[in-house]
Amino acid sequence: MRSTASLATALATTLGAALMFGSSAPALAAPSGQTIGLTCVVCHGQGGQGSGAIPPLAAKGADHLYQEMADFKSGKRLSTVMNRHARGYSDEELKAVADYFASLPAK
Amino acid sequence: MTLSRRSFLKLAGAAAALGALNGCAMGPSRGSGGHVVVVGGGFGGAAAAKYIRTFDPSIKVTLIDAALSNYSTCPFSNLVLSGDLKMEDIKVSFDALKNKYGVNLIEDHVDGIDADKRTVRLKSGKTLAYDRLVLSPGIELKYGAIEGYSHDVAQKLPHAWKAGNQTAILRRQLEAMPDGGTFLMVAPPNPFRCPPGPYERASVVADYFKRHKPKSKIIILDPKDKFSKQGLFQEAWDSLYPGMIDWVNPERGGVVASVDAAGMSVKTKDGDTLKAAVINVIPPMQGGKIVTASGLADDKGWAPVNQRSFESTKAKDIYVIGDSCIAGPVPKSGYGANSEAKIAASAIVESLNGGELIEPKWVNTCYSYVSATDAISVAGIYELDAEGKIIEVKDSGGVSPKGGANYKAEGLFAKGWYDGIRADTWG
Repeated sequence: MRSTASLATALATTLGAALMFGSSAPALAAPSGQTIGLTCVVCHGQGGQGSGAIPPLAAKGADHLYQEMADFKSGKRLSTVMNRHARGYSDEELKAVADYFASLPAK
Repeated sequence: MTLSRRSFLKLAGAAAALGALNGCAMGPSRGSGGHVVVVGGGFGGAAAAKYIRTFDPSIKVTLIDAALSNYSTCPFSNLVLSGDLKMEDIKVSFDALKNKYGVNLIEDHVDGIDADKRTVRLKSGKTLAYDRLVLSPGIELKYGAIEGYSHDVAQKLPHAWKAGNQTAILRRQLEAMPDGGTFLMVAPPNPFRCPPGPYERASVVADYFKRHKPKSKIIILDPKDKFSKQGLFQEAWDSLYPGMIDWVNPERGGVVASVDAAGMSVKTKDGDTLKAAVINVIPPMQGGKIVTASGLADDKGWAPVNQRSFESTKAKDIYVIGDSCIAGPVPKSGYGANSEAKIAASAIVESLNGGELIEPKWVNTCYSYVSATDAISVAGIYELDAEGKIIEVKDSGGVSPKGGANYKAEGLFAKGWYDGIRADTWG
């Protein structure tokens, strides 16, 4: 486990990394799910609860959220703005942010 | 693996922070204490105050702004100009920051900073000590850059580039303008707050004219060869308001030399004089006065900052975010300021608690209305490169497709965006 767990590292991501890599986990080179997620809530509502016509993300399954973003990224699924956003993230980042929103409670 | 007690406590802290973000119990997480003073209650400053309190409720946060009781957002203020929204629709309340997040509010000007003593001096005469200072003062308009323009002249030739009374003045003028009149806009040079803003303004005012004063004209005098979302705006102008908007680039004489408030005219560098019924002068800009007056800006008037933390490269423990700072390709927008605020908030909490800086990522999404109901967008995702510079992630972001197929959907999403960013910043 790395010596300093940054506050803004999502609990789920930290635990996931700890379980996967054990005590030899390197410092995270990618932004955490929470760091990314806090840029999403600007449109997708506080705690990922949605805002007007913009859909909620909280408590959706992590696999489902990841797959949607992967499909936006590849262009398999079309949207107004999400294709442009999804191309800004690595697979690892998309998984982390999917885990983040999956961990938040539905309203 | 087994978690050490120390690691467990940190995870517990992260869990508490997550709980707080979800609106659950606001338990203390990091616990360093300390006092952060935030100057400026806009998208940057308000979000910084909220997220510092969210990440570590043991830190006392004081937010200072001269307009706390009368603050309006620049985003959506163009829809007030077009009569589609009212002034009260763009007003902001700071009650949630105070009551829900425990931010101390002071309505005052900050006159000066003593970086060595770590104090700020208020206009009221009070001095406030800080452990970390956040400056998010927005922009200062360089009235003197255009001959004949001044703060006083702006009462007659409004800039309306800081929302509030200026927005109301320009709306009244547009309402009073007779059908067949000319609305002339003097657009600003780069860099400036809200790159698509002047062109959204021209679009929604054109929509107002189309509905109420269809013989009217719009002239944009522009010192720039190109502008944000240009292809999309010009496509919309051609299809929605054919012949109404004339964008005049520098080659055609778009560079303005002086304005004449008494004669209601503008003189270009090429020597032409244009008269108009309503003149909107958006002058050149620089970082907020507190930034330039405190020696925190470069020779162009913008504040250089560490790109990972937003701490000033010129003064320790002072963080500059939003329009005033230099953040590479991140635009001077409300969304950009909000995104920078969260990275700076985390950096401040980590610095007070002896932690490490997080790996950052920033986002910008700006919607622009091309009519009262239709919108276009630009998106950007940003990260640090190996040299520590902010760069746009390759092959990401960009503007809406041409053709207008998404106008209606993006018009709805723009409203969701506005409600969302207000809630994330002040709610």
